[in-house]
Amino acid sequence: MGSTMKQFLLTFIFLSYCVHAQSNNWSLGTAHSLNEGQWESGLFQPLRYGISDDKDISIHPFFAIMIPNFMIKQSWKEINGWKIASRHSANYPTPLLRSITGSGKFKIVSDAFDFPHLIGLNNEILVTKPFGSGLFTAKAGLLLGLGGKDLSPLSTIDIPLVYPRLAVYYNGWGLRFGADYSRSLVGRWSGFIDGDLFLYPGGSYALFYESKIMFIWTKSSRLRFMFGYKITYGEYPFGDHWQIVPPKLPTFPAGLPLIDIQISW
Amino acid sequence: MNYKYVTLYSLCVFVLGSCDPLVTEFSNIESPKKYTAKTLVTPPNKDTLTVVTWNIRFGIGRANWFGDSCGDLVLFDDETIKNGLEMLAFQIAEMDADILLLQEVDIDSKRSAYIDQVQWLLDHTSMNYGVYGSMWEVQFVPSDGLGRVNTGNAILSKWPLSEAERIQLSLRGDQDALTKAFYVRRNVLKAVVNYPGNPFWAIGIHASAFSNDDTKQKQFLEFKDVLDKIDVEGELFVAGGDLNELPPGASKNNYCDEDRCPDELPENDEGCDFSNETTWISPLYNTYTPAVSLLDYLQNENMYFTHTRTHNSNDERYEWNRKLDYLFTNTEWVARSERTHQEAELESDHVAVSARWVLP
Repeated sequence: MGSTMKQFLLTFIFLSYCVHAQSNNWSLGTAHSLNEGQWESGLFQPLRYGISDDKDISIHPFFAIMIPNFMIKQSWKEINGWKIASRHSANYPTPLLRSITGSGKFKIVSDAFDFPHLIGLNNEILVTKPFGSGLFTAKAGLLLGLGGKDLSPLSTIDIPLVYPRLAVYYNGWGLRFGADYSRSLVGRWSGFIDGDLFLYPGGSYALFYESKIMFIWTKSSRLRFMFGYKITYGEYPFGDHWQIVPPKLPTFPAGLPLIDIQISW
Repeated sequence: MNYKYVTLYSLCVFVLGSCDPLVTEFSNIESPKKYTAKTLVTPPNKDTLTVVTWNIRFGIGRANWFGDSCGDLVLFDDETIKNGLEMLAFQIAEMDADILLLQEVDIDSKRSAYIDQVQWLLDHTSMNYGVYGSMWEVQFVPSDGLGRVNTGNAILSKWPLSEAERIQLSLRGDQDALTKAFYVRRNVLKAVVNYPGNPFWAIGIHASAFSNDDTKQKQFLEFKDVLDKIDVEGELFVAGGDLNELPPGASKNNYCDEDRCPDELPENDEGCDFSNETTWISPLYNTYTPAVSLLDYLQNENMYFTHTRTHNSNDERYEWNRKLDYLFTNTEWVARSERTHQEAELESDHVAVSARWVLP
């Protein structure tokens, strides 16, 4: 594989990870766990496995080589109809960040900078309750970014989705709050909407918001197709900025959606 | 279908229509961004104006930037850029400029600490009004860590500007589709300077720097077309910019050996061999009045050089070694008023060219 193509793929992996990270579909984003022995995955979503009826684990296999990652979710008891779970994840983005640092095409970070060993930890509480014919989930989490105290402020990647997820390494810690709602619409169609707030107290650029709307066509209990859009807002080094994801790409028509395929077995 | 879903879908389409693209692809003619200084300075009461063209290299002076001088620097911090802008503002005051035609002005670029340089220059000089036409507006350049870029041409004036237009020039024809999609989109920027009782046009251009095909020739003809339309209407103009072209008759036409970086091969040379382009700006010289006549230039070329690509002061190539920057008018410049400001050697990789122009 040519080096240009390799760099392109690395860039694509990196951006895809940010677009789809923490995606919330089927039970992934809820307080519910997979059943014991059940598998679930998606084109861009993590591979999940139910190790018991109240506990599942997941990794992003597509990204695992460049961003070693792991997540475990434990469902707890129900209180007043609210299903409660805790979710804990860790990732090590250094290999990917180093691979996209340098000079030439598809190098996202200047070779004037070097990334140390960085570890990201995310600990969240999720609560889920049926509302109407849908399912509502709220979550709150503490983000920790270890190893980033010597990072140069100029080494940031100042684009939506990416900046909010790397900001934790520059700030050391952050908070994340979110809510989502999914419900059936008509026939095989269902819908999903969510909102996520990232806060980095004490940071120069402290507030980021993302909201996603997805339309889902369920082929069977084992296969679903999804498409939709994400809207983001953030306080970036260049100023406050709203952005629809995916953005219009040169030579492509405007309005192309995010797409994903999800399978379960 | 439930109406609320139709409404929701329509909302999505509306929002999508209003989002920022990854790369801004400009229409043939667009309105440029308009600026006003934070504090207005009363314009002088005079009828002889000093017109200046200057490629300011986004305020990095003679730094060894990776993109144009074999350097390894990519990004600059706030302090470095403000120091560079301070030097530019000082020179602008020294020149007593009334109209500024600027190139390579950043307004929202990671490489220049996201400083809006048009606004900064308005706020730190006696200029009052500005217009800006971007030549490269990309949310994210996926190369060399460059990141977000918005850079382009600007016209600054002591008098109000109106009827401003950004006119798209031909894109490079010698690039692959992916590179071309993310690459610079050159333009001509024009505006009416509302000098009391005697309005006139100010027109700026920054032509392609690295094309090896006939892109620049097309751009010069498009630039001349803009000038011709104004001239035919019987209106007055001062025009200029960085043409990235040598004057007709220049004694040296190939700079490839001295411009080539140590790790580059001759087959990858870009924009350094002008030997097939010797007549490309002749139509401008033949039709309009240059601030520096060809006769004067050819008598002492060194005196009018405006550019070099080497910024190590110990290197013999550090001295200005070619003329790329020009001023034209469809009337006359004040005789012997032209100046090629070679003394300002630290402010940019280009020298400002100024000339005095009398309102008829």
